[in-house]
Amino acid sequence: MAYADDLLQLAQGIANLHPNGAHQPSLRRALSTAYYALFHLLISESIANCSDPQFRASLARIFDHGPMKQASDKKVSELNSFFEQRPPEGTERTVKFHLHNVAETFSQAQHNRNEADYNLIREWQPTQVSLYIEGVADAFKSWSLIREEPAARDYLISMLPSRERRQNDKPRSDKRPTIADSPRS
Amino acid sequence: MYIARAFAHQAQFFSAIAQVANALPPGVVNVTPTLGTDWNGESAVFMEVILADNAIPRPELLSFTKQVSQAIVQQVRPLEEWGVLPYFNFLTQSEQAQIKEPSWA
Repeated sequence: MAYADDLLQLAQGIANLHPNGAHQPSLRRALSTAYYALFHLLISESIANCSDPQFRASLARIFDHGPMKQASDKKVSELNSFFEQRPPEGTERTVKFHLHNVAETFSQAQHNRNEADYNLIREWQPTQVSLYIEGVADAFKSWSLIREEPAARDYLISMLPSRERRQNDKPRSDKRPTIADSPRS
Repeated sequence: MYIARAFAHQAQFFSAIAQVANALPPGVVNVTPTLGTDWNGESAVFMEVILADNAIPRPELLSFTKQVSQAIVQQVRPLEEWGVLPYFNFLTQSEQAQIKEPSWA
């Protein structure tokens, strides 16, 4: 079993350690582990085509949480625009549906991981946490369906940090609405 | 200085969310949006969605929460129209009652 799958299974196990109560350390570790499961899944997929193990390990360390989140937010926004056009049923829509699931789950999972690890005021509940972990497991399924698709490969490439992308990439390529823009009626 | 439109026009933004929330399925008891910044410093809206206990069969709960979040995102367009990234937090009524501190403190 791959490391990412192991982590996902571990997250589910930790979340269920105290079935009769909201045991905060367990719930926090479960959320964090679920995020890292998805994080490592996407990295392992990105470097899968590299045959040299040493080079593969070095390549894996290039990936960073911030650029991966930024790329995911941008992808979600692009795909939201795509779905607003009400595209016809077909392969493209199916692939983009699953890609949206992966990117959105990654973004939410990273936020939850930061909340779980660093916001100690926040209290977590078992159903809430198990839902998040189920969401990550669902993103794993979505990924397995689209991993060979060019759109999935492009998403992985967009997660690679680069100076140009860091400067230019915002969650959406259009200008984001600011205080100067009047509200929609 | 960048100020997202949702912050500048909070009343309109919250009203837009409330309008969508009112049309959500009966399993949704309440939607409470809070503006802030996420861990990357991006302007964000944190939506706490309270679900009625046992209104949705457990195996269907994930799918239901996805429908709810998508309905809000598609109709309000938090990022595209208001400049804030949306984050969702789903809680059942009984679990919310057990939380001692505000979730987004």
